[in-house]
Amino acid sequence: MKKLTIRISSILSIGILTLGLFTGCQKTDGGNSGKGLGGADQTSYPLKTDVVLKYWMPNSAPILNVTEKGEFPWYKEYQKRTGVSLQFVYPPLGQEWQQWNIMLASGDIPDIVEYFWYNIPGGADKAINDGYVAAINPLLDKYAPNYKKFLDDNPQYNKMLKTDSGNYIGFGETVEPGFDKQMMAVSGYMIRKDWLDELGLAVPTTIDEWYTVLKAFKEKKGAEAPFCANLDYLGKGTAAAFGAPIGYYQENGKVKSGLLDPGFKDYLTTMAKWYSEGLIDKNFASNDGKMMDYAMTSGKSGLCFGWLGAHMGKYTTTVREKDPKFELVGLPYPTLKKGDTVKFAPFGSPVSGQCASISAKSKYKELAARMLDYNYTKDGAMFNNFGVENDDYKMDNGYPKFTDKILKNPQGLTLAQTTGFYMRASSPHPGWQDHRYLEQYYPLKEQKDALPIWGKIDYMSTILPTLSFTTDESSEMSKIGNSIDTNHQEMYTKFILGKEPLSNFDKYIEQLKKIGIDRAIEIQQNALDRYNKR
Amino acid sequence: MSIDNINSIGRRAGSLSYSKKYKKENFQYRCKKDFKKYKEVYIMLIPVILFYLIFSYKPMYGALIAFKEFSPAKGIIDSPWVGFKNFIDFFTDIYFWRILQNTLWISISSLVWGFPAPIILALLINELKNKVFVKTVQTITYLPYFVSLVVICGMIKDFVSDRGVITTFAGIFGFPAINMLQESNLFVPVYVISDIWQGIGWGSIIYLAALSGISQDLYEAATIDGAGRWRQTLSITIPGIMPTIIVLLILRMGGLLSVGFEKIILLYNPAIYATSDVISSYVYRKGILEQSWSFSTAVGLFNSVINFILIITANRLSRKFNDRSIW
Amino acid sequence: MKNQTIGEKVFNIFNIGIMIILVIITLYPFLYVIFASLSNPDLLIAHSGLLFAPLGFNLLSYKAVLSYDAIWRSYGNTLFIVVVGVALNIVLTSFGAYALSRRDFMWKKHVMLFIVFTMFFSGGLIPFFFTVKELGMYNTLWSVIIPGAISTFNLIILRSAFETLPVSLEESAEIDGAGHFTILSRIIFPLSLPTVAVVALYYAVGHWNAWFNASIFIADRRLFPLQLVLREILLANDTSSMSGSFNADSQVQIGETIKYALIIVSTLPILIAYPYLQKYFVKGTMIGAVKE
Repeated sequence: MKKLTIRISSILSIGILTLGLFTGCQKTDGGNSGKGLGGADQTSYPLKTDVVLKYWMPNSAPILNVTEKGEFPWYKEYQKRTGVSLQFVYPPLGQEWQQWNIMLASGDIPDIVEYFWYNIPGGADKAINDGYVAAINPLLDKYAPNYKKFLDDNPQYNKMLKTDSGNYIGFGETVEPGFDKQMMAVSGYMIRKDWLDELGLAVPTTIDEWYTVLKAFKEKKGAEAPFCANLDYLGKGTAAAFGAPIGYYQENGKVKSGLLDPGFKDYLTTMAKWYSEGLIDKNFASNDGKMMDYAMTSGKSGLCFGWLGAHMGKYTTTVREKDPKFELVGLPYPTLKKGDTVKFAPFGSPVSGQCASISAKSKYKELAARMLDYNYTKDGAMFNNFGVENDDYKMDNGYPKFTDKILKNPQGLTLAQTTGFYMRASSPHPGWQDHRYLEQYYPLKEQKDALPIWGKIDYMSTILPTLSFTTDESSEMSKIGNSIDTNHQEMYTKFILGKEPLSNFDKYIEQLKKIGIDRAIEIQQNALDRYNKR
Repeated sequence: MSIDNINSIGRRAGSLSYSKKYKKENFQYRCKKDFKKYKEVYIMLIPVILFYLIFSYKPMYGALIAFKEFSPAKGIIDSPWVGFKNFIDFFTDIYFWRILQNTLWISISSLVWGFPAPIILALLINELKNKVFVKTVQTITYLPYFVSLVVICGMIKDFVSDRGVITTFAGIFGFPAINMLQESNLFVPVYVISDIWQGIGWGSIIYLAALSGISQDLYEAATIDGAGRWRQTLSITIPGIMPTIIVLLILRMGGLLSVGFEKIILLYNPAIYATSDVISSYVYRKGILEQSWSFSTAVGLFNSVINFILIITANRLSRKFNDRSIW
Repeated sequence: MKNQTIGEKVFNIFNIGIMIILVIITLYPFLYVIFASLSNPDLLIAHSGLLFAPLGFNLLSYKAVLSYDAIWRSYGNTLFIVVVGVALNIVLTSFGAYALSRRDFMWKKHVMLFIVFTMFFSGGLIPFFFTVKELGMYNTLWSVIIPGAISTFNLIILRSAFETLPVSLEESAEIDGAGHFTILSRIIFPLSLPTVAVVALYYAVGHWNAWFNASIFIADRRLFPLQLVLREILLANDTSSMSGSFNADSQVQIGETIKYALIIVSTLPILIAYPYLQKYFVKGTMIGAVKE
């Protein structure tokens, strides 16, 4: 190998010589002179230090117009406020997973890494045991008092942020405690209110009412495909009405699968009926975003699932120009009987699977913890959510209102971009997302109204928290998981399309069991039991 | 003094050790002779071989990941060994036979219909008389290759939806107004035909280059001999590009098990998994759940082994029937 | 003008007819992209089916794409990669193809097998990453150029072309005292120009479209090649992969149209360059080159 290396260098010498031309001044190593936190117990920001921390951060904000070095205005301000200089490392968008693996394999782990540590195979404990990141338990009292307070004040989140062994793996990213229901409800079903008004119909709340409304849309408004959906959106909130949500849930501490519930067959029967009557988009299995956008904006459909901004907002602004009466309102999740509470929600968890962890090998753990703790101070939280006072927002009777710089940016930046540049709230970040941020992010009345409508779900009792699996469990789950998903999605689609007679439903259940759905439930049960013991 | 002479002297001498000694000296002799004749060629090969050693052979130990439970922090060497577990997981998967079958069927269909298409196009272009027309055709037909796959698939989905252009057109012949991508038996035709649509122009380039290398004298001589255009095509044109065709065909065989997942994923949906779910798409979905290298590396290794066997077979057949071989 | 039989006349008409149809259907996707890129994004959303003209002409998407500084810089990076890359490619590939086409070169078979084997078996991303890093190429454009110096596929194509040249040429050159480098550059290379042009084209397009190596090996955004920059823009504007409640639920995207403008911006140079290479593929380039 040595000889080879010599040969390599001699042959590539010309190439490497030219390297100088193009690398410019790339060599940065943080410039740390080994100075630690410097003695004095600092609890005020900005911290006084010369240390430069390396920060690995997946870049999910819209990046058009970002400066060459990838510096958002937010980052500059953040470094100023915390007093810590940061050297950011961003994996290119879409390549986060590869880069993360390579980073770990190379052993050169930056001081702070924001990643989905909770979701990695083997769970967060594995990340600690394998020596990638440090558990921050010992740092909490002295160096992260604000985060500690946050954890103490919110026992439910606390439980979600701990691992099975009781470790805190990093600084978590959550929604504002107390407002979780409406903050997570940023997606749901929406319906053409103007059509409803025209037809003199009330907003439907039960499955039967949905049927009536969809039929009316088709027959009286000429909607070719009243219910616009793709495979995912079709069942996201409707199957739950039959007591059989698509996926796993818990009931009284027991993990269950909606697919095995008796209500699931009723659900499929209903959907198949709707499809055969032309109420569901004939292309639903093959539909993609673009086709659904078209359906909703051209009048082909009147009901769909979507997100407040990307769909409700986009469609409304697009179509209102030509048809000012266009109005989409949030539709409550349907139930079977009028007045029933909806118990299942297609939400994620109020605690993101991502968090900012500190590398096990970092020499500046205390400093990193101190810095990240800033996000949990009142100042830090306001900054992360609203930006700089009097520049990005102004206090109006105690309510932080965004200025025109954010809402109607003079340089023509969209709301998505301004909120991505000047603050961090638009994507998961260590800290919590303020509900007032969300309220202002959605300017239309319908959007603001939709939040409580979609949030009116008693989901806390049924939703499964993010579970941690051991490595063996992980690999077993993924082995079974993919086959279950494939089988289930295939059969489910065929039943509704009418390609598979519903008389074969029992065979489908048998197949699921053969693949191992019971074992999957068992594994999750074990994980849930461990979680409950935390 | 030729090598044959030396050998025959050795044989006539009769003893085993005698010819063995000559064989060894023979080899050294041949080496020296070869080096003398091809000295500069040896020099030419140095960077080439180095390149493969450094970038292909040195990293090859990474294939071991297929036999391990890889953990990036532990590195490849220290990750625990699991033997054939990943492979067994793969082979015993309930969908294994289906995805294997789909992969092969799509590949072979692509081969049967898609391989000849650019050749035929090249031949037809070759017959065009008007130079301007030829240039126009050549310049336009390769364009779809450069339109990104995402856009092309978006178009395809639109064209074959229940109200799409192609569906409507087929309706003239009595075809029902259904979304073609929700019918299992229509997936492969849609896939293969759209492949041809996107790639025929670009694929014909190499054949056009081969055609331009055929000496015009041969055609002139044939015309004088009274051969018509069809005859000329059969005896001059096709044999003229046959070497190119065969090489590309053999190389294609070496990619039989590798149906790329991008286009499949953009076009398929659960309603038609039965014919559209291939190895790469299935593993891709699994990868999203599992996030581990080991399994996909193992599947990749399996693909490679099969592909390698295929190309060796194709090459052997070619050597036997055509006397042409890649090595 | 030779006399044409009826059969030949019919064939000609048939041929021209097929070509016209083919031209129309292969031109359409590209035309669609051009029209879409010049359309008003709101109108585009509400439209489905064929496009015969831009919907509400506007240049917003081009403005957005072209005003992004990174695009211009990455164009420069990619140009460098293509020019240097293709030069390196052609030199090394020719060396390999020449060596492997020498009739009685005794190691021919072994080297070929050595090379073809690598087409199938590779070590995967992580060892490859370390190899490149150990060579000091991390975070430089060389990490994109050098590992791609030889494509086995192209090597085999070029070698086949070299092989089909008559032996008499080389033999006479040898008698004249020419060394292999001379034979390669003065005789083999010029006579295989069409195939060399195709191989150069394949390499050029390969380099032009490449983004993956850069995404792994280059950390400095100023060195990003064009396709990587474009890919990030596309992904950042992509609403089809919504997951979880936190993500930037973007209100108004710059629009679908930006996707199309990106395609035009990124492929235009190649499209302009191609007609120049075309002259090598025209029938009769090789008139009188080889007298048997």
